Amino acid sequence: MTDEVLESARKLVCDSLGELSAAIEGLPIEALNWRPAAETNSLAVIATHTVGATRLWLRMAMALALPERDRDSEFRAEPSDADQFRRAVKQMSDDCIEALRSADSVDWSAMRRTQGRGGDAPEEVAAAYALIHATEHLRGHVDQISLMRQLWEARA
Amino acid sequence: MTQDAVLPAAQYVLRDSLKDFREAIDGLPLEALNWKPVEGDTNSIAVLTTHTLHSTRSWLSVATGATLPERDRDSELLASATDPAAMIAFFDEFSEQCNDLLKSSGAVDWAATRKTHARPGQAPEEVPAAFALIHALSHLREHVAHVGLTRQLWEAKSK
Repeated sequence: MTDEVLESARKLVCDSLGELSAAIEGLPIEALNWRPAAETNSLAVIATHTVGATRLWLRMAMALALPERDRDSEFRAEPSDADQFRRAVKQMSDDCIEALRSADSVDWSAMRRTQGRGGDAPEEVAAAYALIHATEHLRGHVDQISLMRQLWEARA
Repeated sequence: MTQDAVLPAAQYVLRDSLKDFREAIDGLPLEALNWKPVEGDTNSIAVLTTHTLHSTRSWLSVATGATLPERDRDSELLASATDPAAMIAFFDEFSEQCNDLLKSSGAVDWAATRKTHARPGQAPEEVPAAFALIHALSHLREHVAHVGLTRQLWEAKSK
């Protein structure tokens, strides 16, 4: 029997990662590091943070070993080579899809240990939460990245 | 049943996104609600708020098997605000309806096939309940992020 929760997340994550790839395709390094206003993040920062977070939360959902992650450093990302940056994003995106294909079904009520969350965030969450959060967090930032590209192109 | 945790997880994510959304529109003047970062190519916060709340309510209805509400998607994308307080009131009313849809649901069969509202292009008319739920929450977060960035741009422009 198909696990429709997993299948639906696979489709939505794949769609979002495809849009992320399209939104950074062909942009010069100046566009990737450009900030539309003070106190906003660059497209490179948002993309780096997004794929790092998505991989972590999807692996958590799927009960896979959690990868090393330095969340703070994601917000300092400033690539110097656009193609190399896109390859890194592609590799992380492939890791996300591979994680979602690592099982055919999941016990969504199983509790998972989280990593590196600040404040009063719980140390454990249900697998269902990890999956839904990964999917919606990714979608949110992909839209920001698309808007950033529109702003860059309008500016240029 | 291994999917019972899906509903409470969805309730939490929904509340969290709606809270962030409300903070992103709260206190903005009328000009900010109707401003577009790139004229012609981007949407105003008023449009995004109207469209997102209608869409979220509709997709959560699909997910939970509730009766689909009336919806005119095209008109959502033409919306403009006339009063910030009215926009907040609209937001609060629809947020409550969205929260209620998930709260009032008992056990949901996430594999059940549901009929959707009219969708553009080649999108299928039926989807699994699980897809409708995760899409509803992802689409909501997408526009929370969009509204948040639009507000940042408005504030930077207004300094």
